[in-house]
Amino acid sequence: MIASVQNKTPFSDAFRAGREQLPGEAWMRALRDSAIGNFEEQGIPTRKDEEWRYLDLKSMGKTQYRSPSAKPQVDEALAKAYFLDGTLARFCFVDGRYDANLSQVDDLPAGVELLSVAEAMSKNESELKNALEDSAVDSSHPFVALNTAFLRDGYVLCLKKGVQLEKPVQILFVGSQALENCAEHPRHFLFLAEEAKAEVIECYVSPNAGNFLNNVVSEIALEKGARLSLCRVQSEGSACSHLNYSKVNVGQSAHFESKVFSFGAKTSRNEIEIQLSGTHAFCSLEGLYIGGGDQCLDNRTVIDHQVSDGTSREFYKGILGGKARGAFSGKILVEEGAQRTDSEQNNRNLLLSDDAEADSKPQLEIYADDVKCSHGATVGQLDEDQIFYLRARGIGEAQARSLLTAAFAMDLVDSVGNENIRAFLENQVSEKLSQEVGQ
Amino acid sequence: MEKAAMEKALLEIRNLRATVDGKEILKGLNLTVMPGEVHAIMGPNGSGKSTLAHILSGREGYEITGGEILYCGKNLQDLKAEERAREGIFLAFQYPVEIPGVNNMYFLRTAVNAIRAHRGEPELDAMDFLSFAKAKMEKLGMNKNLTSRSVNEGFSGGEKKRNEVFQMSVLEPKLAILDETDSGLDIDALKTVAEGVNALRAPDRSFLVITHYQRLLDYIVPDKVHVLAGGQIVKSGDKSLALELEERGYVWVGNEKVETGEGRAQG
Amino acid sequence: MKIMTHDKLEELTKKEYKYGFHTDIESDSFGKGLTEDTIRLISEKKKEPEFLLEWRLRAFEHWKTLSEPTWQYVKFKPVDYQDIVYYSAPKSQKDGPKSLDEVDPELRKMFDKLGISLHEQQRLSGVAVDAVVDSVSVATTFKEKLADVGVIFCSFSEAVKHHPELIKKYLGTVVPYTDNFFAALNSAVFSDGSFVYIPKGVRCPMELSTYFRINAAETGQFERTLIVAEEGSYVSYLEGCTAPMRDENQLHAAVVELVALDRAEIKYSTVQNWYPGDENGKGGIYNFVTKRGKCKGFASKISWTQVETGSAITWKYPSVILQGDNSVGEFYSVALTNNCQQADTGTKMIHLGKNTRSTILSKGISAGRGQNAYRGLVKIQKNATGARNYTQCDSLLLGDKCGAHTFPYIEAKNKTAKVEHEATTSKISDAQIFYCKQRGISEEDAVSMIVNGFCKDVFQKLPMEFAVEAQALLGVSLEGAVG
Repeated sequence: MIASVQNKTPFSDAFRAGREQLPGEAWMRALRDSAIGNFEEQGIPTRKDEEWRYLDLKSMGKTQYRSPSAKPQVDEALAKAYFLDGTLARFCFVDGRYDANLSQVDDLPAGVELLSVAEAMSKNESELKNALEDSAVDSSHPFVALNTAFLRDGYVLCLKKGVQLEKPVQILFVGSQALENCAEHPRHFLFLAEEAKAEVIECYVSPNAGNFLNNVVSEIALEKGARLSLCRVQSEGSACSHLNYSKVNVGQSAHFESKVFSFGAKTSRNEIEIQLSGTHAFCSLEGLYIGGGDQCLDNRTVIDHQVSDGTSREFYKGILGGKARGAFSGKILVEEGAQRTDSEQNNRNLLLSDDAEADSKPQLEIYADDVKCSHGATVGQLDEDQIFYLRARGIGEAQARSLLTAAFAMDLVDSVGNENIRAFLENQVSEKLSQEVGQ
Repeated sequence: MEKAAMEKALLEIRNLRATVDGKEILKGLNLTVMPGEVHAIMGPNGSGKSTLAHILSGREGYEITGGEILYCGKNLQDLKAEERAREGIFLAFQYPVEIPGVNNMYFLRTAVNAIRAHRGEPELDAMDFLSFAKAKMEKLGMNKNLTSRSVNEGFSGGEKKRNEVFQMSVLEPKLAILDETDSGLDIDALKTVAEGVNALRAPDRSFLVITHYQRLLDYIVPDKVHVLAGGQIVKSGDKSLALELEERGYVWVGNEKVETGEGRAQG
Repeated sequence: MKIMTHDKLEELTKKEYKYGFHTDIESDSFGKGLTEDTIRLISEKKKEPEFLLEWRLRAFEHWKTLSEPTWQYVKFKPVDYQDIVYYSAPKSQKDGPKSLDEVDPELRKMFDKLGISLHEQQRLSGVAVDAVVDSVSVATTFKEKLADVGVIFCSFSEAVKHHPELIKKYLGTVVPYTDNFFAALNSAVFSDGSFVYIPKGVRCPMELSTYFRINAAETGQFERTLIVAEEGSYVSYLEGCTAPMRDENQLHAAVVELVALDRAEIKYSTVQNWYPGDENGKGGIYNFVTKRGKCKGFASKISWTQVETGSAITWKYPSVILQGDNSVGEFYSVALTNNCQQADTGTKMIHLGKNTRSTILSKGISAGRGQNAYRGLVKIQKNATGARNYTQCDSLLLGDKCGAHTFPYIEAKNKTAKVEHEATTSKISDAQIFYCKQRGISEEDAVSMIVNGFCKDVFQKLPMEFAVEAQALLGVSLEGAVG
């Protein structure tokens, strides 16, 4: 049964045409049907929607997206260029589908489950069913609904109570030129039981993908005392749209850290919604977005302090050249009774060119009185005094500028604990900066 | 001797027991302060020194579970913090609080007038107060710009402590409690603060000087020195006790306490 | 260890509204409802020129296509725009008093009770007053004295009569009737207000002030203020508002337009104390106001200062369009919400010209079940090279049932822009209260003192007289002693 069409979207026909080929049992089909109805009801957001004020999705409405081929062409050299050393496991997807040959999961200790969503679905896992049904209940987010309608793969990472991983897990998504006019909807599930600990780095790479929509949704839950550090690097091709939405539930005394590096795609949106649902929960959200050309890099975060004694730290930085637009919208919500909340939020932007634009929308919504909340936002240029200081020491102006710009960017990288990841990120940042700033 | 003390003691603490969040901090403390006397209370960290200061000044959050505090013969527990202040109890805070936007002199004038009203005296108007306060400032060698700044806001550690002494000189208390006034001060600032305090010594004004270190007592010479440990006064003596403590450390009195029991805790 | 009890806070924040009386003045009003005829009738009553009627009607046509905005952070029952009286004037004003001596004694008594004397000799010599009751201006003081230096200060209706060319030139140039729902409504039905014109090079010799009073029941107040400052001139303008206590909500939808030409400066201060409703949220004024200034000329300056303590709902964003190069916009605000009051207020600084600068300082105080939101937009357009903005938003929460919210928007399209925003939220700490009490100061005085300290930076921007009134409004008697 397909829900009545409210707004026909470019996805409607593709859904109906491909519905039978999408994986899953009857419950999954039912979920997909209601999800596409939900998406059509909401439609593709426009800039008139407050939450989408800074992202123009008009071109999305004009594309007839297809599903990628079931037998992707593997560009091994590209994938390998992004392999990280010193990882515990690597989970690789090519054109949206799990690729066992490029993956490496032999060394996983007991108590860790890492598998593809396709596999979980074929096993008809009840946890997956529950998780999907739960998120379908509240899919006020159009692209979560769209993801549910089309999802076919992604990864599931579960850590049992007390399991602590010493090395990071890498999740790599590579896309080929076969993705032109395709849409992929990866769905990830991360679950850390009590006192479990993990570090995950996700990379999205598709330099030759053309007009490709990657619509990623993640559901993350941390139980009491669990710790997750999640790093994301988005280097999609310059014609892609990359939408990435995560919902994170942080339990009592649990610790969630996120670092998001947005470099690629024409249109990129990174959204993280955090619920600090247990007392003494902690989250740290950091982001670096560097854009040039006609890129639009949109970031949205919501941190919901539901109970007392939570701490949140947030720091997003933007560097914008060309005709790029960068946006940050961050909401801190402190609910009634969430006393002793301690929250800091900061957004800083550097404009490098005459046509670049930076938008910032930090928000505080506070319903408890014993709280410490602050936010700050700046838009500006490099400090001319600093530039002069460097020049007075014999450094050319262009070099001085790129040096200072790199310094502005790198402090988010410097705080990465894992050496391999840090080196990898340094490379990524330098490469992106050299494209946008020169040198 | 003891009887006479009871008749005219300014402060008399009898077998005081107090808890914070259910934890007993003061465990039967006795202390008698006569008018004009300067008592030093020394003790290791966590011995209950600051608790004593807070309880005397009426800070909430402490539960008195036993004993009594008599001030000018009246039971202090019946009075709220501001009433105690108006009755002449002054606490020089270990960490003076910043109040942004509230002018220092305005703050002090409000305090002076609240105390004057309590005594049935007429209010001082802004001009009268200013000349009164300026005279005090000159005496203490205070920086004039304190008049135009907000209460303690952006003050250095030394300025904050000096401001406390300045407030004391303006409010003219009967009992001044100095809670670790020496902490965080360099030697020059310490001297200045001590000189300020010494200038305020008077036959009708007593001091309770709470400190961890002996060095403050080189400059404010006490009539009596008490050692507070484990919630009780375990040793009392004259100023030489402070020097002995300095030399032998608090472990010494700790041991002595075990040997001699609790009998020596009289002030 | 909570020193400040809820009761104390309540006691402190529960000052009775002392302007809640109602005066029996015979008034000449229309029936309820809004149609084209209502507008024609208003225009006819005021013997307006044709161009104004046409403008009103165009605004009305446009208004009918709009619906009430819903994005603001306030909740209220929908207003029935057909259940409002759109014109009410004290009857004795029918033909307008020829001089102040002719002002109805009842009216005069009302103003005396409000502490606003219309007798010139009794006023502080520095302030000229335009008194607006319900829909019309009832008296303007010091007119002649101002006329000597060429300053026009009169009711809007008089300006339409005597200076139609100025009205025609500037009306709607800053806030067009298409701007928003309430601006369109006001443009259609506005009944009176104040008009100020400062000629070239003149520094207005005294503070100008309008005192607004809603007296009649079930009446909306839709006044319109227009201030034009010619090249090199200066004016400081004050606005105060009160209303009787009534159980039903009353609508106040004003429009204020300011125009500053080359090197002119307009300082506009508001102490808004409309009836806020009772402690359960019954009654009170809906204060939906559009205020905007245009720094049209080179190095011109517009400064808004507001102290918002009244109204059930406050919804206003006094803004500045920084069009002239080197122009300056400022916004200083204290907003207090108590009981069930809601405020969504802030500013927009639109930087168009080069080297334009703006400063925003907002202090929100929430008590009781009050909800207080700062909403602001700082927009740096492409050609605004060298633009600067500094924004500071601080919230103070008194009690655990209220809310404090901050929604700033920064949009920068010029790389030389420098925009800084900072916001903090705090409460009065137990340590601060104890420190004051230890010095003999009562808890009530301590809280007042700390709240006033929190607002000090804004109060300093108010003219002396208003600063005193503002402090008193916050329940304090600092008597000018703030440092």
